[in-house]
Amino acid sequence: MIPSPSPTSRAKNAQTVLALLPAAVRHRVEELLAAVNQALGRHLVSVVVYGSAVRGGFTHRSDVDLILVIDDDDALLLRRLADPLAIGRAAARIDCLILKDSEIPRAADVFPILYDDVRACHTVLFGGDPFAELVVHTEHRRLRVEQELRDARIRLRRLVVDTAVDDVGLSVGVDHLLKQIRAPLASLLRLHDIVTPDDLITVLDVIGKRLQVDTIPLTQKAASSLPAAIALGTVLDAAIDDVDELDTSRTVT
Amino acid sequence: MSYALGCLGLAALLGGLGVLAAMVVGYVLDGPVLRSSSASTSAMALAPSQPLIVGRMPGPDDVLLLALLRGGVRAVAETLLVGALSAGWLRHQGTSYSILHDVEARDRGQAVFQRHAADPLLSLGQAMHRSALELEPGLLLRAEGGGLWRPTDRRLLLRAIGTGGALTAVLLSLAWMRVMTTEALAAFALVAFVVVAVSHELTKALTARHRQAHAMLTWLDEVCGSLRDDVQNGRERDPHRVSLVAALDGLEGTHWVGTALNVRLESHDAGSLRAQN
Repeated sequence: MIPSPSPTSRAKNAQTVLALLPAAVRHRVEELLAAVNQALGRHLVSVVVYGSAVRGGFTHRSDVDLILVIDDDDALLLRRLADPLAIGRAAARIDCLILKDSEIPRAADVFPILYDDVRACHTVLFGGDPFAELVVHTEHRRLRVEQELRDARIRLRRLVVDTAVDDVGLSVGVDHLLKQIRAPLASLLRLHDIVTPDDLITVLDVIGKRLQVDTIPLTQKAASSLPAAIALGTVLDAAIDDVDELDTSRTVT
Repeated sequence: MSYALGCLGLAALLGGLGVLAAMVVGYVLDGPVLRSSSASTSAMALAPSQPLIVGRMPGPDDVLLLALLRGGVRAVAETLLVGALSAGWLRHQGTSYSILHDVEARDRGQAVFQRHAADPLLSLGQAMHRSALELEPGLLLRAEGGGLWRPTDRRLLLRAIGTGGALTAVLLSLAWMRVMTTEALAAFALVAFVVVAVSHELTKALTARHRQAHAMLTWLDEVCGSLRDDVQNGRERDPHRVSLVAALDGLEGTHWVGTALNVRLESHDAGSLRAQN
């Protein structure tokens, strides 16, 4: 469990994290925070930033991942977020997940990977830390890892079919799937008690060594997309076998 | 001499008032739409049901209107093409294009384009052009209703108020000068000409056909930086968002679609169409 920082250290963290972002992105995040605050008023419980903006490795093409925690999801209230969120997305790729405060602990059984990912590296920009007291069970984590990896495997098959004459589309799709499986693979390593930085390159490297599969085509930007898709399929197959056979008798979070 | 200078000052002042009057009348006639000139926090929090306005991201119904305001009928045609390709009902391979009839058009603009594209007598370029022409009157009406487009009669009225006001001011000043030497009259005529010319140019600039739309397009240019990049590199493929970038930038803005096409509206020689069920 990650301890909740004090309000002072939280504020410092938020400022530090925002200061590391490019000025234009920082300006949009601050503008979005003000707009969301104005739109939701007392119904805004907290705002959390996670992902590469906090973890590191943020590039000019990275998303800024935010979680807006609210205490009321009335449709009219949510509609007030339409423009701030659309502008944030178009201007600076700010991607917002909207969660209700009461559902966060109850959804730990079905969102263990998301919560693992957020808890591993996040900063509170507004309000309290909604993830401070969460408990994630190992079996829930294992099931979700398997589900995510199998889902990615199915999507990869369809992607290869749909992009038969669209190499750019295949490349974009493989890139998207890689980002999608970063967190499940990091969780898989956690299930093996392997603690490692959870950026994509490191996770692929460690998982490749552990499962004895070649991940180099996935990390080479210049590589053509079909070999990358084939390598991704191999990694997914090995990871699915691994998680499927995993002993889940342990129950520690 | 000081009397003449006073008259000239009066003419300049009244001429300025003429321009000001044109601006105020234009502001009232255009309606209360684009009065927020920046993406302020309060503008961002506006309800989405409001019309096209700075601070509100355009919806699917606004995209063709933006295209028209930016680049006229041609831009509408290009946006229709990009919308069709990204929605998937139009596909291209080499220089030929095929229509997938089982993909339903998402909006009226696409429905019109789909109808023209299905006409075996039309090339793709002709279908695009005809669709854009058919949609233009409705889009113009919307633009006028939203204060984004000044109809010709309103523009002429505003120019008459601005330039006519300046001219009247000069004539009144001349009438007020009961005594004037030939030299003073020549100097006055010169400055009066400058006053009227400046007033005319100012009024012309301030009452342009789509001056308010320009503010909207400038703001969208500013806030769509990441979206534009995502569409360019193929990361963003949502038809509405891709169409929005096409409306703002034309085919050049949608690199992943634009480079694969060779559509020339003028020559109507875009590849042949064939239907697929």
